[in-house]
Amino acid sequence: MSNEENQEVNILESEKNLVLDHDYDGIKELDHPLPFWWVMIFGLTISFSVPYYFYYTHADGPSIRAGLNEKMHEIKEKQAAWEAKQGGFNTEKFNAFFKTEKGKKLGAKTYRRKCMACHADQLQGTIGPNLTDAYWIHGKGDIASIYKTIKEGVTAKGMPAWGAVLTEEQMYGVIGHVMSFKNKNIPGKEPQGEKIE
Amino acid sequence: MSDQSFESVVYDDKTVKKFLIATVIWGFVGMLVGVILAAELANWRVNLGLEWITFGRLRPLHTNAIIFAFVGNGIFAGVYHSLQRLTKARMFSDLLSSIHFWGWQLIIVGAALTLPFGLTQSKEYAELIWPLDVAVVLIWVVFAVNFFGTLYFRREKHIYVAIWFYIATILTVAMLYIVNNLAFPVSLMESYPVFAGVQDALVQWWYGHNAVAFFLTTPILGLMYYYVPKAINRPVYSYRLSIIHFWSLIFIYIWAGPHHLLNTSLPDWAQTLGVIFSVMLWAPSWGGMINGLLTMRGAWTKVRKDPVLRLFATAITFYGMSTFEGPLLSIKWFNALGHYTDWIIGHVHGGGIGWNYMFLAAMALYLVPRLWNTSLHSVKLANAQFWTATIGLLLYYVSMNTAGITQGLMWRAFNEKGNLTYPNFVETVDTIVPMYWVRLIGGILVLSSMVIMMINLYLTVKAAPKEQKEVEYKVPKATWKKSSENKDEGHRRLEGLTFTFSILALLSVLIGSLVEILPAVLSTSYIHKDYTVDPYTPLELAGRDIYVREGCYTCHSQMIRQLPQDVVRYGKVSEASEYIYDRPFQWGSKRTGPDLHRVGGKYPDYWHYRHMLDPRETSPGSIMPPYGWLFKKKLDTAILPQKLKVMKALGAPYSEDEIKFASQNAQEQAEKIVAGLESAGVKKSMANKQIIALIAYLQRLGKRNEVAHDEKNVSEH
Ligand code: HEC
Ligand code: HEC
Repeated sequence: MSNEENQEVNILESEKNLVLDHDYDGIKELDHPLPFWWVMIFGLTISFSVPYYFYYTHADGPSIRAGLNEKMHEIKEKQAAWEAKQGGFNTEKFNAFFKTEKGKKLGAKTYRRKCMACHADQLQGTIGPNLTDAYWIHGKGDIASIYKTIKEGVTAKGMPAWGAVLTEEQMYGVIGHVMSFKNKNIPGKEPQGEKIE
Repeated sequence: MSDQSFESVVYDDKTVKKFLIATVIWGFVGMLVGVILAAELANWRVNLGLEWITFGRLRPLHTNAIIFAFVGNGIFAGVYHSLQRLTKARMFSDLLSSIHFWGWQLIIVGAALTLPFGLTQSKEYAELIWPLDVAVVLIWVVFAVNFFGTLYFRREKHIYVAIWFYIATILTVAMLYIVNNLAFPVSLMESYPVFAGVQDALVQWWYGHNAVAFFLTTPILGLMYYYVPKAINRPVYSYRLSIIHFWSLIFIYIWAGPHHLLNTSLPDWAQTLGVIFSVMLWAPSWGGMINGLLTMRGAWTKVRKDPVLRLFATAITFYGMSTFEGPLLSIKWFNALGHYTDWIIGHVHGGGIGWNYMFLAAMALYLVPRLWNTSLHSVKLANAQFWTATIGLLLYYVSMNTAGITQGLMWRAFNEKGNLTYPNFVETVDTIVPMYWVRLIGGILVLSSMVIMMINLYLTVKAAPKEQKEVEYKVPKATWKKSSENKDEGHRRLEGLTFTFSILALLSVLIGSLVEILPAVLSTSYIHKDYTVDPYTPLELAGRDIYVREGCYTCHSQMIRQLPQDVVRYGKVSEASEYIYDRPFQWGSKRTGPDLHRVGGKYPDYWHYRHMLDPRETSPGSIMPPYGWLFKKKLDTAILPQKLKVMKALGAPYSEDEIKFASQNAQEQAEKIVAGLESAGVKKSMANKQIIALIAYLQRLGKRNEVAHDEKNVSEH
C-alpha cells in the first residue's frame, strides 16, 4: 500500500487559523465563510422566485393558455391581412407565370417534393387519385377548383392543405404542372369521382 | 489521544475492485451503444432493418447502461471504498456485499436481454420491466442494509459530508424508484402503470429529473468530497458551505421535475413550481462546485501536471456548467426554444460525459494503482485519455447545441403570411444532419478515450504484484460510544446521530414530493365539458403496446404544447383530459420526428402502411427507420381480454362483453382496415399482422367526441 498512508495535508500559511479539528481518514476541513457572491446568487434567485410564484399562481399573472390565445389572435390577424392583400387566385399572375421556363421548373420540382408521394410520378395516382383521367372528385377539373383543393386540402380524406406551405409561385407552378397532365389518361389508379366530358 | 487504544481492521477491497472492473466494462458497453445510436441518426441505414438494434429499441439500453450500469457500479465502488475508510469500519456484511455486486450485474444482463427485444415500460430511465424492477428494489435494499449496518458499527463518531450525500442518495432513490414503477402486471413481461396520462407524466418526471439529481449528482458529489481532497492533499475549502449547500440542494432538487413538462397540459401551478425551484437550484449546485474547485486552489501547478487531478478539475467545471445551463433551460422562454431539441441532448451529455465520466475516470485512475498496490502504467496514456475525451466532448456539446438551437428556431419561424416558414418537418431535420455527423465523431473520440483507459488500467493491474495481501489498519477504538455525554452542538451534533440525520434527509425530499405530486395524483378533475374520450378499442390498445415496444416515444412526442409554433404546426392544443386512458403516457421528450398527438386522420391508412415500410417513399429525406418486421409478425390477440381486464381494474370503463370478445373485436376492426387497403393491392391476409394494429392506433390519436353545447362555449384552438 504505497500511497495509502496519509501524507501530511498541505495547508497554506494563510489557512492555518481556519483549520477545524475534524479529521476524516486524513481529510481536513477549513472554516471559510460562505463566499459573498454565492450568497448573493442564492438570495437573488430566491427573491426572484417567490414573487414570481405568487404573481402567476395567486395574483393576476396570465395563465399559459391566455398567453397562447393572445399570440394565436395575432397570427390569425396577420394571416387575414395577407389574405386580404393577396385577394385569392390571381388569373393574370398565373397565366404570366406558369408557362415560363422558371414556372415549369418550379412546378415540376414542387410536385416532386410535395405531391409525388401520393399522386405518383406521372400523376397517375397511388394514395391520392389519378389526376390525368377525366374523373374529378372536387369540381370539374378547372383551375379554380384545383386551386381550391390544393390550397384548402381535403384533410379528412388525406389530402393535405397546401395554402400555408407553398409560396405563391410554387402554387402557380404546381397548378400549371397538374394542368399540363390533365386528360393525358395515364394508366394508374382506378377512376374516382365524376366523369367530366 | 495518547490514552486511546487501537484495534486493527481489514477493509473489504475485493468488492471495491470488482465494482471498479464492472464500471469500466459497462462504461465501454454503454458508450459503444451510444455511438451506434449516433450513427443511426446520422444515417438511417445503420438501423440495418434489424428490430433489435433499431433506434427506438436501443436508446433505452444506452441510457440505462450509462446510468445504472456504468455510473451505478462506479458509485458503488467509490462508496464501498470511501465509506469503510471514513467510518474506520469494514463493510457490515461480506455476504451482502457479494449479493449486491452479483445481483446488480445480473440485473444489467437482464436489461440487456430485454430492452432490445422490446420488453419495456417506456418510462424514461425506468424502462426495465416489472420483474427486473422488483430485483432492483431488492438489491437496493441489500445495499441499504449493508450501508446503514456499516454506519451503525462505525468507529468514527461523526459522519463526513461524503456520507451525508450517500445517505440522501440511498433513501431518495428508493422512494423514487418504487413510486414511479408502481404497475399492474398483465403477464410476466408486461404491465400497465397505476398512474395514467398527466399524472403518469408528473410522476415520471419527478422520477426522471431526480434520477439525474440523486443518481448522477448527489452520490458523485459525495465521492468528490472524499477523492478530491485525498488526491490533491488539500483541506476542504468550507465546512459551512458543505452544510448549507447539502441541505439546500436535496431540499430544492426534488421540486424541479415539472421543468420537463413546461407549456404542456400539466396544471400551471405545478409548472410554476418547476420553474422557480430550478432557478433556486443554481446556487446550491454551485456550492458543490465551489467547494470542489476551491479545495484544489493552492495546488494548481499539481493540477496542471497530473492528468488525474486535471480530470477531477474538468469534471467539476462541467458540473458547474451543466448546473448553470439547467436552470437556464427551465426558464419558460428558453424552454420553449430548447425543449424537444438536441440542445437538451447536448445538455445531458455535458453532465454525463463531462461530470460523470470524467469524474469516474479520475476516480478509477486514482484507485486502481492504490488498490492493486502498484503505480499507474502510463501517465502519458492518461494524458491522451484526457485530451481525447475533452475534445470529443466539446465536439459533442457544440454540435448538439448548434443543432438544437437551429432546429428550435426553424420550428418557430413564421413568415410574412403568418404561416410557418418551414412547414415541412423533414426540412428542419435535414438541416441538422451534418451536426449529427460531428456528434458521431465526438462520440467516437469519447469512446476511444474509454478504450485508452481500459488499456492503461489493464496494464497497471497486469504489472501489479501477484500476491495481493490484505492490509491491516490500526484504527482508534470507538470509545465515544461508551460515554453518554455529548458535547457537540448544532450540526456537529447531528453528524454523530446518523438515524436522526437520515430521517431529516428523508423529510427534506418528502416535503417537495408530497406537495407537488399528491394534489395532482389525487385529483379526479381531468374531465372536459366540451368533449369525451373513448377508451381504446382492443386493436388500438394492441397497436399502442406496439408503439411502446418499438420505442417510438424516443423520437416522437404526443403533446402539442400551449405555444403558437406547436398549434400552427400540429393542431389543437393537447388537453390533460385526453390522456385519461394512456398507460403509460407517451408524451416523449424529444422530437426527432414530428409530434403525433393529432396525426389520427391526417393521412389515409395506406400512407401509414407505406410510410412504416419505407419512410422515404412518402417523406423524402426522412431519417426514420423502416419497420419491416411489423408486416411479417402476427398480432397476439389472445392476450387482449387480459389486457382489457387490467385496464378495467385501473379504471377504463370496458363492459364484460367487451372484455370477453376483445380478440374477435380486434380481428373485425383489422379486417375492416385491410378491406380499405385492398384497392391499393394489400392482401387480405395482412389483417392479422401487427402493422394493422399500429395503423389503428395512429389513426385514433388525438380523436375526441365533441359534445354539442350551446353557442356560448368558445372553442379553443
Ligand atoms: C398525403 C397524400 C397526398 C399528398 C402529399 C398530396 N395529395 Fe392530393 N390528394 C390526396 C388524396 C387522398 C386526395 C383525394 C381527396 C378526396 O378523396 O376527397 C387528393 C386529391 C387531390 C386533388 C383533387 C382530385 C380530384 O379528383 O378532385 C388534387 C388536384 C390534388 N390532390 C393535388 C395535389 C397536389 C398539387 C399536391 C402537392 C402539392 C398533392 N395533391 C399532395 C392525397 C395527397
Ligand atoms: C429515429 C427516430 C424515429 C423513430 C424511432 C420513429 N420515427 Fe416516426 N418519424 C421520424 C421522422 C424524422 C419523421 C418525419 C419524416 C417522415 O415523415 O418520415 C417521422 C414521421 C412519422 C410519422 C408522420 C408524422 C406526420 O405528421 O407526418 C408517423 C406517423 C411516424 N413517424 C410514426 C412512427 C412510429 C409509429 C414509430 C415507431 C414504430 C416511429 N415513427 C419511430 C423519426 C422517427
